[in-house]
Amino acid sequence: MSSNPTGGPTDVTPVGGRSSTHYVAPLDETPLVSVDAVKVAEKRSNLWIDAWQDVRRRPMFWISAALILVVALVALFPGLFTQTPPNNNCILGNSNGGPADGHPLGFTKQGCDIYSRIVHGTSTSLSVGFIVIVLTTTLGILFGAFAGFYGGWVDAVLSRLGDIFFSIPYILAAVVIMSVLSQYRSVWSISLAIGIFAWPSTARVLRSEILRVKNADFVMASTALGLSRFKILLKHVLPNSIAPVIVITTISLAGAIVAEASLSFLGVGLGSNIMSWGNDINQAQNDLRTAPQTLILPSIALSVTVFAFISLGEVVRDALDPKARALR
Amino acid sequence: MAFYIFRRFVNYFILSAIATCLAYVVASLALDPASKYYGRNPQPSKQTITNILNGLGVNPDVPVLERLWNWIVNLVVHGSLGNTVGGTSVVDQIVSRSGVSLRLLLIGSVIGAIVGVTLGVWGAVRQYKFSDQVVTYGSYLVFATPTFVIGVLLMIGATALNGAAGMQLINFTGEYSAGLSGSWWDLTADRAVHLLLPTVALVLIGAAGYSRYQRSVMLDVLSADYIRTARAKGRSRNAALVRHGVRVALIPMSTFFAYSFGTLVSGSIMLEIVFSFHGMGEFTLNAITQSDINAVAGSTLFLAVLVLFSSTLSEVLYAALDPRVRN
Repeated sequence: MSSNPTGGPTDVTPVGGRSSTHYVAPLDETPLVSVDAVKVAEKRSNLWIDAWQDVRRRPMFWISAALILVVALVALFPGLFTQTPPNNNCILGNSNGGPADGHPLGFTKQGCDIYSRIVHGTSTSLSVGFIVIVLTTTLGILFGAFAGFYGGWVDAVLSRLGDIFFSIPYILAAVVIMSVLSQYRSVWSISLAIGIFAWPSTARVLRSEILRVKNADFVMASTALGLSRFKILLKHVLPNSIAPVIVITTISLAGAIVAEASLSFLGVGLGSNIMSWGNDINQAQNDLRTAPQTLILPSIALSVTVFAFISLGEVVRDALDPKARALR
Repeated sequence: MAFYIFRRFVNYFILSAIATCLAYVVASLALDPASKYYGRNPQPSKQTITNILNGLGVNPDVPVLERLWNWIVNLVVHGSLGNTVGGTSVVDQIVSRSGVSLRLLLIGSVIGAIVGVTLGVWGAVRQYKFSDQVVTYGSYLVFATPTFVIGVLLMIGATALNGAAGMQLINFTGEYSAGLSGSWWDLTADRAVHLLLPTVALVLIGAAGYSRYQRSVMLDVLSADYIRTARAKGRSRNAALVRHGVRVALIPMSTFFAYSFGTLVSGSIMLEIVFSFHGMGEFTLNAITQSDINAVAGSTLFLAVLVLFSSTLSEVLYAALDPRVRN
């Protein structure tokens, strides 16, 4: 039966030589019922609308979104939140002092207002985060999309390259880059050092998603319509596999903020003239035993921000995954 | 199966070799070992500096590929990785320091993996219940806290505990108490106490990552038909979960172990600094900041060998868990 390329009727002749006739069941057609009707007037629905319907009912989404909004406001308009200058008017007599009138969180070792320094350091951490995700998303989409869509040796080369970058502990690599760039320590150079080693996770997520999507019927349909491979990738495959990338991007942003603080802690981060949470934590570590609050307060600011981004990413990940949604 | 693992081993071996050579070239091009002599007052003569650089085999006037070739020949023929800028042999340094790092890294990652897998399975089984939420947000909190802050917080906690107990219950500075003498048992116990806090920190980092991944893999498995089949056959719920669920869920985990290794190494480097351990992490960081090309190359080789072994181990695990690979 299987070797009948023309697809015409087949005479089945069993081994014994006797021919037998097939039993064909009578057609049993069911008429269309109400559930089969296509409701044209119904609200349209797609992955994003469904995700929004899901996400708006979850308290964690609103909590993390509100936190991120506040942090963004602080970064953009620090003057709204504090009038105390973070750098000048520091009185050494207040060194490592506790809370005082007008200085709710106390003072750093140099006698500067901790609250004001936290407020003014926000924009640095967030800028590092955003520059890094621009880098990782660009590199990740390039590598992941080509590796997943074209497959074969392109995939082998690009994926192995990603594996190499992935297995290098980013701290070491970033330390090398930062010590080479020791003359140019800025938000840009530290973002470059982090971003170059953070893209493989984005690439890997996108690649596996594209592998799933590229065999879908609409890709075959576009091929049949005569679209070029590259156009199909750009117009159909990529938009349909971008959802997990958005999630991993929020999480990379969180990771980049932590990485900036870690590099500053090692003394190869931002120059001491740039205000950042990482720098403040670094400068506080010598007085850990006597004044732990100078280290813990900027760490809390950092952790809360990073926590907000991670939770947002995870809530959105759950919402974009129809399977996880069905279980809830 | 042996052939499969051997083939993967060769694959990883080539990757590690390429990575090490690349690291040598990058370090040679990026670092300038002569710079620290130029800053010295009085400045040594040009001839002296050249002699020192030649002695170390890091003279930038020699083409970098020739230096790489000499380095490889030296390694293969003499088993030597050259000298550090301090004049000590890189191999000796690695031998004396690797034990410190390996103890921390091995104990921490194994316990971290066990705790993470357990929490992940537990979270998946109790999805969206209170305990699952606690584990989930707890792991986000660990992600959100830089490694060194976790270390510092543990130190503050230990100080408070010591103060409350009125004695040194937990020692956490250095890798062992300096000048302590006694039986082998005393020394080992002393080391174990010093290892406690950094290990706890590393376990937290590892468990946070593993539990998230294990939970999501386990959720996929739990909705699979074969779990229902196992239950229908009359297996108890726990037996079905462990024998049919966890075993399958561990297959993708085994590759994740290898991939997460870099994160754990980064974490243990930070912890070595925080707890002032004189291990490979400190060695590598010092090598980079001192522009010590031989030491950077040597520690990269050490790291590459570690990655090689962890990747091969995860392939062995993969093959042991997944019968499809063995054929």
